[in-house]
Amino acid sequence: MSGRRSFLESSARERIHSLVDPHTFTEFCAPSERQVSPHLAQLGLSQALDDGIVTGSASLTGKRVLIAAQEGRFNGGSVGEVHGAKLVGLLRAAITLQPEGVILMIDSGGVRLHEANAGIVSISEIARAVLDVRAAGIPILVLLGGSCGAFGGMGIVVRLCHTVVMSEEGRLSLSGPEVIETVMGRQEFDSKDRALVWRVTGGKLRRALGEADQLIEDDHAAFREASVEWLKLKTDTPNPPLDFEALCARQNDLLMRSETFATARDGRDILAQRLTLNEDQWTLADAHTFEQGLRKTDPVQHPQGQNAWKEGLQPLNPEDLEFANRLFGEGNHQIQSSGYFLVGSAQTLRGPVHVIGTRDRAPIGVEVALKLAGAVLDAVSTDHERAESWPIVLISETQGQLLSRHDELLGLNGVLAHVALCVDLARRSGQRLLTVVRNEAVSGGFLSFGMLGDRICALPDAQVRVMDLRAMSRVTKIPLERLEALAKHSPVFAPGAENYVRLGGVHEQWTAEQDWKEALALALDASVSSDERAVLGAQRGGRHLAASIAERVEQQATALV
Amino acid sequence: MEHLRFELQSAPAVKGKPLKGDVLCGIVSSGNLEILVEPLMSDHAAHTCSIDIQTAAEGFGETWQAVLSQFAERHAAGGLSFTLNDVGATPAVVALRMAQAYEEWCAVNEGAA
Repeated sequence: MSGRRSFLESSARERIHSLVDPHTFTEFCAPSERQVSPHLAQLGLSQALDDGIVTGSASLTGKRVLIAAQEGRFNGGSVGEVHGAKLVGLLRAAITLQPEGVILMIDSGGVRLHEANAGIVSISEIARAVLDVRAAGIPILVLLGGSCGAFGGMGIVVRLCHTVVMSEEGRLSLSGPEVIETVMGRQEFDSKDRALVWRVTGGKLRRALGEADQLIEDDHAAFREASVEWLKLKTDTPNPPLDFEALCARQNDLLMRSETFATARDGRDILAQRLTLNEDQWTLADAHTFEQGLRKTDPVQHPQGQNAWKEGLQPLNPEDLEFANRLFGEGNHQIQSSGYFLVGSAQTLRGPVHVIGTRDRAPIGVEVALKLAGAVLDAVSTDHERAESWPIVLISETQGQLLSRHDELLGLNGVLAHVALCVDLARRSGQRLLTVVRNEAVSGGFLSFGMLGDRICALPDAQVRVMDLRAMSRVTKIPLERLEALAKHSPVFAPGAENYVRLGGVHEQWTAEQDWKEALALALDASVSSDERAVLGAQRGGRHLAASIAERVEQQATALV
Repeated sequence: MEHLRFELQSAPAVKGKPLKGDVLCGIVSSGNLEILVEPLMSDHAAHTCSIDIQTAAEGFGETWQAVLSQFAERHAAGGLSFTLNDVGATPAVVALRMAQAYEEWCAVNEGAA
């Protein structure tokens, strides 16, 4: 093909410049402002003048868009404090500026482990900001075709956006194949088998599954054309709001997906069913042929439907019962559990609340996630029917997402994004969200549920982390002793609820001596529905830059008009 | 990490015109580097090319000196400041990237003039 330019092989800046109308791009927080990551320098690592993300405003066929592109070749496009804050600032500016659309070129492995705690809080802030932009009726398009794909928290963020356009080369998932292989063994996921990796996470599989809206060629012109078409469509027909009905329909689709592909471990199992093409054909098919080969399917109703989450509920075991008694008082709660999931209601000093969460250091996979989403949707509809708004207490106890090739194949990132959308719906329906972190809360499982709370409280012994220091040392190749020494001074590296408190990622940690019923009531009083975590992090001295960088981008953006 | 700084003699980049605009070239990744080209603020600097380097490869000061001196001789880069973030790029890559950054800056500056 003549004149074809690979999106995959290009830099973030090249991608932006060939997407938008010539000479219309204005950058915010540009390299000359030298807003670099202070944490990388502390580790003696190279920093980039844009911290691996380009943010700005441009015209696309004369229409104004706000745009961001991550640089996958700088630290894997990973999200650190500055990097994330630039994206948050851009998204907030969108609400003020009301552009025709926001375009995000995601190319990221997720949290930047060198500043892990700041990174995950930052991704959570990005998620909240994306949800706010959606609620303001501004469409967000994700373009995926970089070498890092979208993994970890960014895999979840992608599925919070309206539209995902990807090339075959693009990947979209939660846990990277290397992580799954390291922890679960090669028989679970052989990360060296590239064809398998793409059949589980790549553009064609994601398109066939419905996790991407369009498959296009790895060509700048194709990315521009798709973006122009998208913008035209969005201008002509505004997005339907993500309301209760839409999320119930999504819940049904995901339940059906999970059931239909209950034993699937390879993209072949899904592609064979979703396409009119055979394997030789879909392997070689260009994007257009692939799109033509997608089977049209009518939605099928799941037999248990919206009540699937109620299956197998039992009384709490003694340990959980003791916890519930301490939190709400004996006889003040009706909570049940099934496996890793718990649900019910309780009386607090401030009135009745819903209780939804996970237990037993839950590894969060598709099944548990869909129970959480189902229970949240039920709480929203129950309150709507009785015209009351009970707060939801989100019990967050998770060792992180389930590391499983099957769950990745089914789009665990998308399922977790669905949980987040349901929790956000509850917030927008007027329900206050109070998170209680019990035992431990780690990475993806925390990000899509507990971290969305209006106020996040950690129990005395609770651990909060992205990864432990030993694993972090392995991945970053920084000696453990050095990380341990740094962890003493900087809350951005080390696990621990107290560090998240300093970063503003956890609002408060309770003590063992405290009356938790009282603490819960005070936390309910103090909860606010806007995201103030970056400001809190600056006040508490744990995160100096997040708030000011976001504000800087927002100011530069709004100064344009 | 090592910090190096060079002030090199070079012919003025743009004669008689105020310099404006900046350009970023390259990416901070293994064996590569990014270069930010900016006009120097001072009027007295028209014959000086200023180069600031953060490099992950320590102890190569002489090599930098050689590569960058050659660059300053061959290009009219006076009045420009170069900020480099390097992750162990070879001298050949550095020379190539410097020339590329300079050309991109000239192109942008032409357009702006």
